[in-house]
Amino acid sequence: MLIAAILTLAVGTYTMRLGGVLLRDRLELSDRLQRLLPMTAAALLAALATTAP
Amino acid sequence: MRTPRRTPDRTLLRDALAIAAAMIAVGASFGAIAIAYGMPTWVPFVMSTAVFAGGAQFLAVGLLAAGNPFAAVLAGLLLNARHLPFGLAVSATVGPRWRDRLIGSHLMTDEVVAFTLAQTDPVRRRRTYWLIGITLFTSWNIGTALGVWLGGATGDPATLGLDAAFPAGLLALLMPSLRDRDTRLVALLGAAVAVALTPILPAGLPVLCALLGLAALFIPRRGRTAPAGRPAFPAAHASGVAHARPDPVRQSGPAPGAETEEA
Repeated sequence: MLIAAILTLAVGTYTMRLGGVLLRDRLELSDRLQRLLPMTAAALLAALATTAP
Repeated sequence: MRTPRRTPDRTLLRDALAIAAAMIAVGASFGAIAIAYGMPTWVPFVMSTAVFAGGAQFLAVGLLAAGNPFAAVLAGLLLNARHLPFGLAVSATVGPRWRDRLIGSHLMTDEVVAFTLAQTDPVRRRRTYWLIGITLFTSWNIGTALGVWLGGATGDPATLGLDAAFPAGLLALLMPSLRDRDTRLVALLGAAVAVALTPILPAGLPVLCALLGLAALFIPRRGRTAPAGRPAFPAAHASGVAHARPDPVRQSGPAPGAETEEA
């Protein structure tokens, strides 16, 4: 279970990294979305820091 | 450009060294935390090599330790979704060769993207991407190993202050992006929602509920500009280890026409 979760996260992360590099000419993200995604990350990290087990 | 040719390269090397030092420290806190949370030794190593995304690793280890692997994967992927626009932004720098694309993609982090986009010259961008990327990967993994060793050697997390290492490592990754006002509001509201829901929801879900913090963007304020009108990558230009050194954008000097992200 542990290894499955970690590998899923690894493969998913790599897919998104490679996806952006490969799809530059075919994928247009709105400015709003490009701005929202890093904010999403900040919200998750801040929540984790404040609720850390 | 009036600056002597060698100077920017020296600047780049100095940046790389500063990043390496910071990443060893944060990586060590990650490695120690993973062990303190009772993870098997291989977990931090596999994460630091295969996932290679600091924030997501802290998040995943925290939620795995809380016993919620589904939340760990979901939250980690949401956290890393920002790499999609990062990839679009550095695609030209990584170049058309498949070998470069396959390896270069894995090296992509907030810091690499920030330093790369701070350069204007394509050749320099490329050099920056690979140098900072390889430096980060190496130092992050060295740090992880150091942390695993320290975490295992001490036994009791409290002796080394490792119990404080978790929020400290996270904050080190988070702080630079909080310089952006909207991001700060979203993060604060998200954290508040998560804290409020922690007593009533199962482990893992409160962190995911932090996404409700995005509602902060819809709170009307006098004189605020629409989110779409702001430059992209607020986190990228200052994320990760930018606290260890001055803003990379300003490093490029007074070159005329240099595009900065802080327009």
